[in-house]
Amino acid sequence: MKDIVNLTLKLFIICALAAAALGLTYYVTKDPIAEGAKARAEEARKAVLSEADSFEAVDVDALKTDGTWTDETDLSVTVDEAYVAYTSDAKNGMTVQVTTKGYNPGIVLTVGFKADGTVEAINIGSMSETPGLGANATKPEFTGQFADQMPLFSLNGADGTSKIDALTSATFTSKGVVNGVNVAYDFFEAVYDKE
Amino acid sequence: MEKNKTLQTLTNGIWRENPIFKLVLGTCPTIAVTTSVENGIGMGLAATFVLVASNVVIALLRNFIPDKVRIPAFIVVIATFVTIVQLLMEAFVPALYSALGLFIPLIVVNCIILGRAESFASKNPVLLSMLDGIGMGLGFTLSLLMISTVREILGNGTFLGISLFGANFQPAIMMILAPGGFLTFGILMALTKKISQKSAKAGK
Repeated sequence: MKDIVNLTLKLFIICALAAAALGLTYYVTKDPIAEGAKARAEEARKAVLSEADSFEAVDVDALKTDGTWTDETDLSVTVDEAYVAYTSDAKNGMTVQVTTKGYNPGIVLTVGFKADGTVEAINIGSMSETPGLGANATKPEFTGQFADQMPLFSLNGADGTSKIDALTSATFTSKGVVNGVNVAYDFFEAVYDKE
Repeated sequence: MEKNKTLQTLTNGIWRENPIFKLVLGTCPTIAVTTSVENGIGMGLAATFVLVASNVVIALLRNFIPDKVRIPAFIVVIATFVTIVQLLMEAFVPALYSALGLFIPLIVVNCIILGRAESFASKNPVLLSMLDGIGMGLGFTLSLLMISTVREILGNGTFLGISLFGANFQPAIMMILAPGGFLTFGILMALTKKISQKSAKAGK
């Protein structure tokens, strides 16, 4: 009996100290982490839309609820967030972040659209594609193909679409990225003029 | 004599009890992160850091922690420590965090850390435990470096991201997928075994 109390008490002390240390660290680091994340997100948006100097969030969830925007479930693409960009307080383009599916689900893609709808740049944030094959999609040789092109895109260039060269042995990934950018453009079309 | 033991503790982890090739601990993160040299070094250094710190803390607490509940106590200490390191890194050195951040949660479940806490730090004084942590960590890092060098060169044609053979080289992609990991791991383990057998014979 004494043993049980002793063990429990000591384990409790260790856990309580650990919890206190964690709580303290969390308290100290909470604000710098939030600020850092905000700055990085802002930087990521600037990377795809260089002329913008400020961004205003679009309420994507509200647009989904009122029916202005419906995600493309057949293509497994969802719009996560979007920002209207401003240059010296004048509306100047939009960034759209979508999650699309390549060989594996979960390619997070940010597309920067200029005011006329051309793509300035795309950036692939995170993905779980095969290393050495689909993972090459993050390289500028692939993503650079979208720069300064007018959507829509396709891998064969049919019907007046801009042609994107697929990655070697990674057609699913290439298709997924193209679908993601196209859906982001649809979203831009549906929303940009109304915001 | 005393100095000798200190040195031996330090070098023990690098060769004689190399955590990967001799103790065969922490093999899951080994296969997972050695697809590139950069990842291998990152994981190795992050694990070394946590290993040293957790060894020190556990050596300090070794007389307080009751034997019967030592495993939960070790895990609480290690997990707390890893989380604190992760939060501090994310807040104050975001550049380092973006390079190593991916590996930090993996370290909690790296059995090298728990293994050394159990078999060394809980029985030895603080300074020796720290040296053991450094030695084991370096052994882990060097092993990861070896495996990832082979895999990155054969599987991607690059070393640390620098292309070695020019654009026409057709890399064996299998080497950076899981089967290549197992193959490299197995062959290197066999080689280290062979070398230690030879040196043991020569020692006689």
